[in-house]
Amino acid sequence: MQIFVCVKDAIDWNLSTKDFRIDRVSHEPTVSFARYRIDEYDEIALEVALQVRDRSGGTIRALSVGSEATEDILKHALSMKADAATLIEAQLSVEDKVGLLGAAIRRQGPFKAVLCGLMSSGSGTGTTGPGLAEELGVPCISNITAIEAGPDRWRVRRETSEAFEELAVMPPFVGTVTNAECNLPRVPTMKDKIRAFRQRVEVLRPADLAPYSSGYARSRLRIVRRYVAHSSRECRKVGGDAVEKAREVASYVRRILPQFT
Amino acid sequence: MEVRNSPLVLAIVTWNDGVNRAMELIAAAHIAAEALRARVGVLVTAEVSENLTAGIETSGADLLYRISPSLKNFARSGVTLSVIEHVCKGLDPALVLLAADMVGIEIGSRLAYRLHGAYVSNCMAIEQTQDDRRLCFTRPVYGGRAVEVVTSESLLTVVTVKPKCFVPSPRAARGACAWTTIANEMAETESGIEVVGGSGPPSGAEAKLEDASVIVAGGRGIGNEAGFLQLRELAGLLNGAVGASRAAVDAGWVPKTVQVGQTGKTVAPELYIAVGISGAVQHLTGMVGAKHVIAINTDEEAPIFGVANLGVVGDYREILPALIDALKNTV
Ligand SMILES: Cc1cc2nc3c(=O)[nH]c(=O)nc-3n(C[C@H](O)[C@H](O)[C@H](O)COP(=O)(O)OP(=O)(O)OC[C@H]3O[C@@H](n4cnc5c(N)ncnc54)[C@H](O)[C@@H]3O)c2cc1C
Ligand SMILES: Nc1ncnc2c1ncn2[C@@H]1O[C@H](COP(=O)(O)O)[C@@H](O)[C@H]1O
Repeated sequence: MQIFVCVKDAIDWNLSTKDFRIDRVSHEPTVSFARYRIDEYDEIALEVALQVRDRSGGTIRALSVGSEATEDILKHALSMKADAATLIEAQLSVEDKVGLLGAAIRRQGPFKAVLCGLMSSGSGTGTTGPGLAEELGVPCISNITAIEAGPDRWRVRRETSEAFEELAVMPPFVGTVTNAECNLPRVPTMKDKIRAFRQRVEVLRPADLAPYSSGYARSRLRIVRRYVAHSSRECRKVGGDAVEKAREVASYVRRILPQFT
Repeated sequence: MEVRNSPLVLAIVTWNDGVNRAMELIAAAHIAAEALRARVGVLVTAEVSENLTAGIETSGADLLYRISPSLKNFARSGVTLSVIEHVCKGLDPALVLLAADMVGIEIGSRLAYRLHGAYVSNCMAIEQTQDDRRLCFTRPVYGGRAVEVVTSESLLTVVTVKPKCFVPSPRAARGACAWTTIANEMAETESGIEVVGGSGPPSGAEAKLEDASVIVAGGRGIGNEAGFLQLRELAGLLNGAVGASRAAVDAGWVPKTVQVGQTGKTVAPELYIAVGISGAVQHLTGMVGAKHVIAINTDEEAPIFGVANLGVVGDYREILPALIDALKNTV
């Protein structure tokens, strides 16, 4: 029983928020001291997959399309105790990524589930997961927070905008994962990190997977511009003791809410 | 009226999420249609209220389509997807708009795949390029830390529209407003997926968070469920609703329905009062559209002050009672 988890790298915002800029030409972020880490949604997706394996057995394979540097992210997945990791070395648009990931999964195949993050914290389009469901011809379930493998049907819990839902699904399927109390990613120990450091990441090139394409093959988006959205608000801090502060807030509220006089 | 074979912009209403979301979608469709000199079509796949039906009929759309029998089960969005795919293949729209809600995020990308189109998610604004009549779509990237403007180089583009970004404007109905009914021949099942449990929306007459003009939101700093009573009192006084950060929802102090942010609701009230909320980017992305923001926080360095008009550094347990008093006393 194999589960694929698609992971990608993302800027580590804990370490590099302050001087976040976007290059006008490349449209890529320029951050001094940029640190990269596994995308936060993908780390959660991996945790959900690992919980399935820890309860029901099977193997977890982390899969990423990226550069050589992405190997660090896959090592992190291994240190969280994913069983295997594959790097597809390519820099591609999301439209091509779906075809490539699909080809890699088919090649390493049979699988019960492919898990993706709800959206990546970079482009944040949420295209890849549902696109992969199309590519692989299986159902798609979004917003998953927990999964339980069964002998035939699997139980999937997912968030809806109002509450939650329990689904029974016949694998294989593609799921996109969101965060919840029950899926806080595990923190690898030093020992796990050392072990993962020695583990091998399988590397594939697009040529190894050719021919591949996807339903997006003929579609393209072009970035016209990208810029950091600065808040235009100038925060005025009120002073005085609690009562004075409260009075000032009250008068502000009265001013902006004419109906409240 | 445009010639019959001018392009079509199709807004798709997939569920009865109140009148406002659908009207925002149609507002976005009108903006796009003006730029493309296109007609606006509305396709309703779900069973919708009379109110919403009336709203759609007077929205200025040129063409109205509904699916019969309507689709009910959101969990099996694969069925909705196949029906929409089928309709789109017949109508051949240049632009398809869906709300960026549960259904939209699940089917938008797949619809684009099936129709060989481009996919723009979470669209916040639509404009026209200066040189030609191409559309520019604005959307958040890097978790809302930045925005990008993209154009589509495809014949068909599927767009999901972020809530609270387009303002519905009343328009006189143009042309005939009769509904065309499209028979749904798909079975109401999707191979393999079945809903076996869950909790529906909690009943109750509480104002819909997205539509409240004042929101008093609490975070981890509120400390416990009881603390939210004070927020509720303040919200009641201002005719508003209570919202929350994910931390407060995860702690079980308030239901998921009131969560604001990336994995919760997007809101844009007149006034947002953030109490004991630090201002993580995942929270901010759901509320930066608020017209006025007041932040109350013990930590003067809290990032929430960066998006606030008015900041109060202090313990909410002292500030809120005093504020409630001050608002009650019409001085
Ligand atoms: C994938 C993902 C998705 C997420 N989606 C969302 C989302 O949709 N919405 C969301 O909100 N979060 C979301 N989060 C979580 C987010 O990153 C933050 O953890 C969360 O918003 C923090 O909530 P908070 O501000 O209430 O808590 P904290 O960050 O702990 O802040 C509490 C604040 O209260 C202040 N405080 C403490 N005591 C008092 C007092 N007595 N009076 C006044 N102030 C006090 C503190 O100074 C502090 O600033 C997401 C996270 C991830 C990883
Ligand atoms: N380069 C990539 N390699 C592997 N998985 C990816 C890649 N890009 C996106 N994904 C997966 O798709 C999810 C959604 O990404 P996106 O479609 O970019 O919003 C991510 O959370 C990952 O799980």
